[in-house]
This record gives sequence, C-alpha cells and structure tokens, in this order.
Amino acid sequence: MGPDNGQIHEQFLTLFTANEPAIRAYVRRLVPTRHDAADVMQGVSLVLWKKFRELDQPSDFRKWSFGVARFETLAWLRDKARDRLVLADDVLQAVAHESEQDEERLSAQRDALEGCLGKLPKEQRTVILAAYAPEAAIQDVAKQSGRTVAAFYQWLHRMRLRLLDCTRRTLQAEGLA
Amino acid sequence: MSNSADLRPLFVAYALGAISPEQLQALEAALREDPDLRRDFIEYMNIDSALGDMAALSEAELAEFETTKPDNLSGATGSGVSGAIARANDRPTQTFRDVAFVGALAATLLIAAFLWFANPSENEQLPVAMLVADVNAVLLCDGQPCQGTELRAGKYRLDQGLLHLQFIGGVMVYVEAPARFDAVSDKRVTLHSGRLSANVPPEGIGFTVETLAAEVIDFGTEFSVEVESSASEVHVFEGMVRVLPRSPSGTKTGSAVDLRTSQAVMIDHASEKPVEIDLATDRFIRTFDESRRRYSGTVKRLSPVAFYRMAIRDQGLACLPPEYAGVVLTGDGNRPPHARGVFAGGSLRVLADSSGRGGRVDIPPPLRTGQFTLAACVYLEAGARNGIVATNIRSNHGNFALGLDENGFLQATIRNRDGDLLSVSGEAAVALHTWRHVVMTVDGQQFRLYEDGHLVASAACSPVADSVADVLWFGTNADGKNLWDGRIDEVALFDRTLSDAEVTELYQSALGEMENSE
Repeated sequence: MGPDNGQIHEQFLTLFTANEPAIRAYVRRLVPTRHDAADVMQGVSLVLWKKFRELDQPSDFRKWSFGVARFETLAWLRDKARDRLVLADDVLQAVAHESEQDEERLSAQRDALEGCLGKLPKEQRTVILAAYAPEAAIQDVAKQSGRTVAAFYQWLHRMRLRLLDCTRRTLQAEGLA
Repeated sequence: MSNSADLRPLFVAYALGAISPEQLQALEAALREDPDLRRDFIEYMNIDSALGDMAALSEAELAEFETTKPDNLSGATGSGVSGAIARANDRPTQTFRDVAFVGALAATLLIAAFLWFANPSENEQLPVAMLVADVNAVLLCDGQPCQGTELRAGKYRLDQGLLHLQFIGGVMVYVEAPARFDAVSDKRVTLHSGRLSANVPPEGIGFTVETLAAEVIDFGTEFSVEVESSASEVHVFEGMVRVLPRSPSGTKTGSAVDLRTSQAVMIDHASEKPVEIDLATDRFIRTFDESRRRYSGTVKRLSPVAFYRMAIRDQGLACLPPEYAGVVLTGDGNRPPHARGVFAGGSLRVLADSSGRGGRVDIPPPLRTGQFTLAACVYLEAGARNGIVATNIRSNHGNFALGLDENGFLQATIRNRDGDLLSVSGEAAVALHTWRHVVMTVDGQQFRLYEDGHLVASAACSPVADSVADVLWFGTNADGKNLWDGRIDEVALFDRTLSDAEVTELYQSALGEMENSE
C-alpha cells in the first residue's frame, strides 16, 4: 500500500514549489518568448503531476522534471516550427543539454540577479520590472520612460547585458564562474 | 566572451519573437558552431526568465505577502492544495522570488488537482500503447506475462513472435522477437535489443526511439531500428528522421544526422560514429496489413523514372531516386503546415490557406522515349480554374502539363516532336474535398486521360517531344501562377505508357486508402 493521495499531493507540491523557478528558467532557455514559456509551463506542470508516481527518488525531482520539461518543450516547439520561427532541433538539444549540465551555476546566477538589480538606480529598476510585468504593454512602458519603442528595446537589451555581466562578476567572486 | 558576440543583438529579437528568417538562420548556425555564444545565449535567456519571475510580483504584493500568514493563504480556497502551497512557501530558506509564481502555480495546480480527482481512472498509470495484433507473441511486462491489450510505461521483453502496437499518439510500431524494449511514454521507446519499425502519422511527429548509441527522432515517416550488441542501425523508408549519436550514459556525442527516404546508417556502439549503409528493404516487418503498401509497391513495380511521394522535409521534396529531389516553394519563407496525404508521409499543400506555393525540381528525370505517363493523387479545396498539378512547360520548352482547364475540368497537355501542344480535358469539374486518382498517358499514337481508373478523354497523338533538363513544377506553372488550391500526392513519372490494365491496377491499389483519407 503506497502513500495516500493527500500525502502525494503534499510531496509533489513541496518539490514542485521548490523547483518551479528552475524548471521555468529551463523552459525559458528553450523557447523564443516569455509568453511561449508560460504556455509550455502549463502543460509541463500538468504532465509532472500526472507522472509524479513514476518518480523513484524525490531527490531526483529536478533532474526528472527537466527531462519531462525538455520533452514537452521540444514537442511543443516541433509543433510550432511549422508556422513559427524557432531554432533547429539540434541547436535546442545542445542548449537543453548544456543548460542541464550548468544548472547549478545558472541557478546561482538567477539568485545573483536580485543583488544586481538592487544596485541599479531605482528608476531604472522600476522601468525594467515594469517591462517584464505580466500583461505589460511595452509601448506604454517605453512612452513613460520617454523613449520610442525601438529605442526602448535597445535600452532593455543593454540593461540585460549589464545585469548579465554583473551576475557573472558576482558568481566569479563566489568562485562559481 | 563569445567570438560571435556581434550576434548577441539577435538574442533580443529572438526573445521578442521578432527575429527574421535570415536572422534566425544566422543565429542558429552560430549557436551550432560556437559553444561560447551558446553559453551567452543560455545565460541571457536565464536572466530573462529571472526578470520575468521578479516582475510578476509587485512591490505591493510582496509587502502583502510578507505580512500574510500561511493560514490566510489557505483560507482563500479552503483546499488542501492551497494549504500545501502555503506550507511549502513557509520554508525558511525561501527567497522572495519563490513567491512570485505562487498565484500562477496555484491556478495551474488547482486545475491539475481538479482533473486528477474528477477522473479517478487518472490515478492509475495511463496506457501508452495498445496491442493491435500479434503473431504467436510471447510478451513479458516487467518480467511477468502481459495481461490485456494495454501497455503502460514499463519494461517489455518479446521472447517470441511479432507485435503490432499503436501508441496513444497514433504511431504504429512493429516489434520482432527477440527484443527488449521500454515503453517510456506515448512518444518514446527505448530499444535495448531487437528490431522495431515505426510508422508515424503527422500527429505523431516527434516520436523518438532511443538506443544505446543514438536517439532517433521522427518527423512523420516510416523507419526501422535494429539494435545488436555491437551496433545500432536506422533505416528510413520514407520521410526523414534525425539521428542524434549518444554515448551509453546518454550524453550526446556527435552532430545530428538527418536521414531521408532510402537512407540508412549504422552506429557502432564503440566508436559512436554513424556510417552510411545500404537500405535493407526486406529485413524488417513494417506492417501486418499488406494493402497499405500496395500502392507504392505497385508504382515501383511499374518502374517509374521518378516517384514523388510528397514527403516534405526541411523544405525538400523527397524523390525516388533521390537525385531528382526538389524543393518546396513558399510564399513568405515559412514552410507550409504538414498536410495529410493519401498515404503516410504527407502531401504537397498548395494555397488552401497556407504559405504553400508548390514545388520545383531543378534536375528532373530525362524523358526521351516519345512515350510518357504521369500518375498522381489530387485533392482540390476550391475550384481554382487553370490550377496546375504538374508541368515542365515554359514557353517553347517542356513537354507535359496536368491541371485544370478554364472550366475547372481536368486537362492534360503534351508537346509533340513537331513542337505542337495538344490538350485533352475531362467531362466534368473535378470534385472538391475528395482525393482523386488521375493519370495521363501517351504511347506515340494515343493520348489518354484517366480519372479514378476510368478513361475520360483521348485523342490521336504523335510521340512526345524530348525533355532533358526542363525544370519540373508541382502545383504551379513556371511563372508562379495557376496555383493548385489543395493537395498533391504520390506523383509518379514514367518514360513509357501504362496500359489500361496497369492504370486500373494502380487506381484499385490506391482506392481503399483514398476513401479513408481526408
């Protein structure tokens, strides 16, 4: 007799909650846009839930969930590839594989981002987060920041590169680079 | 930092879904070759994801959460799910980012929980495949004799006989004993030893067979895999599969190899390198139902000079023999959506609300005997007048065309050795939304046109002019006009005349599948 459904629920939710940012980030690295990632994650979380009993060791949850997410994402992309511009399967496989190998550092990088964002002037930080907010209208955010949409995208790109460099320096200081 | 750093601005275009086909191609090629750029790309997207998580939580929400007790959260719905989330979120190690997705997560999991409890059978492991038929099969499921016709995820051993399985995604799989395989999911099988053949319909694209030496990903096709102790082999009978060599530990070890119709490779388990080998047409059992194979078998027996089954892979139009393969023409650079054909492997979709603009063969087979036959299956979505099925005629060059006339009737045209064009037309407009089998033949004296096995027009005719290198077009004329509005499948060209009996035989061998196809 195995654990009852309530116990399985709780175990799944605990594991999923702890790992969801990593799974979401993993999916995000494989799909073109954030909206795509949200779309795929809906399916991934359901599949993880349905297949949860197949997981042997709770300690393997992240690795297992990456495997599920990888399959679901690539299947989703293959479906979309017929009418959308997405990277070729072999490139995505390489990105997926290297993402998995490097997850510890990538996870630390996501944590380091908090600190890096905190180092930015509040005004810049507010604008970046406004651009990333769910349902954000980039046109409005661009206008409020006093830029054209094209200029705003360029600015956002530069800010992302700055944040990326900052997280790399942070990781380097922690011996994780 | 990457050597391809100048391509990093493309990351933002990609992340916005605003990248152009040319930019995507450049980015793809650079990512494939440059590991440093890949790392930059992965980290860029990683930051993008983390920013999204942070932004999902407003300052106000954060402040509210920090002052909210877990009990209050669970009280929102009163369900155990929310309570569990709240408890999970109460862990002391939590960062504020963890909170950001709680709302979305709770919604997703509530749906999941609803589905779970609404359907008690979901609590049982779902079958991944069904047993369709077997021939003297002795099958063990996780070491025990199998019961019933449903196969769940697990380990299987076929000690004797043959199995025909249908995976839930529609993929047909044939396994020959002795074989050991794991049904991993409805889209994935691990073959440890033995032979397996798969027939993959459009909805099953992505079906993957994993072996010790490779991962074989299918793109809507028919292929076989054999695993022996020292090597794995992959044979593609139609369509395309992608083979990713891998080490026994599962690590990808080499570049992906795309195998197309009539190609095969062997991957030595020690060297992990794919080596091209001859296609083994007779080694594998690929169906228990011979009628399915009859049409292509009949065509091949009649010795066509080129046979286009209209398997479209990476904008290529596969052909037997491969040297006459063509390309798919698209209006805006996007490949037209996969279109169902009469048989496996799809068809050429032209117009019909898609970006399909036909196909082109730059190096077609020479036609120099004075005789000619073209056979094809066609499906018309709308009554487009003058739509072309196939032609190589352009001004004073080329010697045949098949399509519709200005009334929407089937029309065949040939150029004779005097340079004169002669056309014959059918007796009624081609019916919409149904597959039709059409054939035109010229024997040097008579020009004949058949619809669904019946002779519908004929005329006296001298031998057909020679054609050595006239570009062949499918679904369009040479000027990109007169587009067919529908689908074209199974185009066979012959440099001889098929007899009435042979045309009838061809039609009859396609009949069953045409009636069952949409």
